[in-house]
Amino acid sequence: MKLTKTQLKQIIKEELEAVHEEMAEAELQAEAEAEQTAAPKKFTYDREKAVAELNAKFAEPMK
Amino acid sequence: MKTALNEVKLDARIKTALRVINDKLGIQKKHLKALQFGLDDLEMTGAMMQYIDDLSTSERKVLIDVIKSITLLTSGNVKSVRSRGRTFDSELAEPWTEILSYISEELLTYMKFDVNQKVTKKDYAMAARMLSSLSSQTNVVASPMEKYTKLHRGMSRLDKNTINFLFSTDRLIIPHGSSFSTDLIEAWKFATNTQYNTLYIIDNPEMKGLDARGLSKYPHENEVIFSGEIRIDKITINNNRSNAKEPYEISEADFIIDPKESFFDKGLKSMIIDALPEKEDTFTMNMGVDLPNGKRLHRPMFIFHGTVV
Repeated sequence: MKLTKTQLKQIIKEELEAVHEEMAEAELQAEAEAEQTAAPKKFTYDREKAVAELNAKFAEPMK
Repeated sequence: MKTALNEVKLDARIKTALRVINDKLGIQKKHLKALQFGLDDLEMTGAMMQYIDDLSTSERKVLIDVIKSITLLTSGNVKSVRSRGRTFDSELAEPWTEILSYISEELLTYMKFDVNQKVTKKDYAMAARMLSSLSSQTNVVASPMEKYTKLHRGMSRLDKNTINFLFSTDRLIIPHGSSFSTDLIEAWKFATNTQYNTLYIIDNPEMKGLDARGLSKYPHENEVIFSGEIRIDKITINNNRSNAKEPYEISEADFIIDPKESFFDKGLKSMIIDALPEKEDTFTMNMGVDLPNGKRLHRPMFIFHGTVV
């Protein structure tokens, strides 16, 4: 089947768009993964343990 | 006293009697301080007697319970208040006269309560019920002479895990009636010790909490028993304060942090959390920790500024 110039252009455009979308998705995914792997190192905490410690400290008398 | 779903609420007449008692004790404290006397000699006056005389028998019973509750939390066994009396060892029970302040003893005796009887499990259960409600309510009908619109609390030896949590939330829930002070210096005494050191400065516009400043056995502590929700508005860090005997230049913060700042913004919050030693490490914190922005954390005091909501 012989394609016309316009048809070829359309196919190339669609292919390029698909590639760009894939690249953007991969980039977002990589960013999200990087944030997740960075988070535990610095900013994670055991909420239950922290609340228990605060409650125990607030319960202490001031004397 | 009205109760709904176990909630205790004081009637206006009892609130007024309490306010008058506290106002008169506040005046006495001022005089005693001015004369550089101790605060152990607060005493009952004619105005207090008049308000008590006007109360009905059942209202007096409530006032007696309020004074007993304040006493059990401030000079009794706090653990037994928390456990609603379940952990209280009756064998070790002391007579009320041993734990009451002089003024509370005088007031209870005037209301025909026998202060020589021993404290019971039932008393602790009553105090727990009473305090769980009153510590989160506004218990004044008219503005007291000495307002308690600013509350303070200090605590030290916190884990880094807890600091991380405190940096990640803008709400604090105080689930049980806890001791706060209207006096920054009193709270400061409990904030300075081994790292991590924290101080809480809380605006209390509706004057929630139970005023124990006059009735507590330790009137110099200026105690208010509070529970409830606090919104954290600002976090400040002051260097060289963890070993300071007094809270000097508290408004001159070395770092100011917005509690809403995201850890992922790579701003001051993440910079500081990242720099704190993983484990409690007094030496490192005292010697100083360098931050990427060129500043240093050095014997820091973490101050949480909030508002009762």
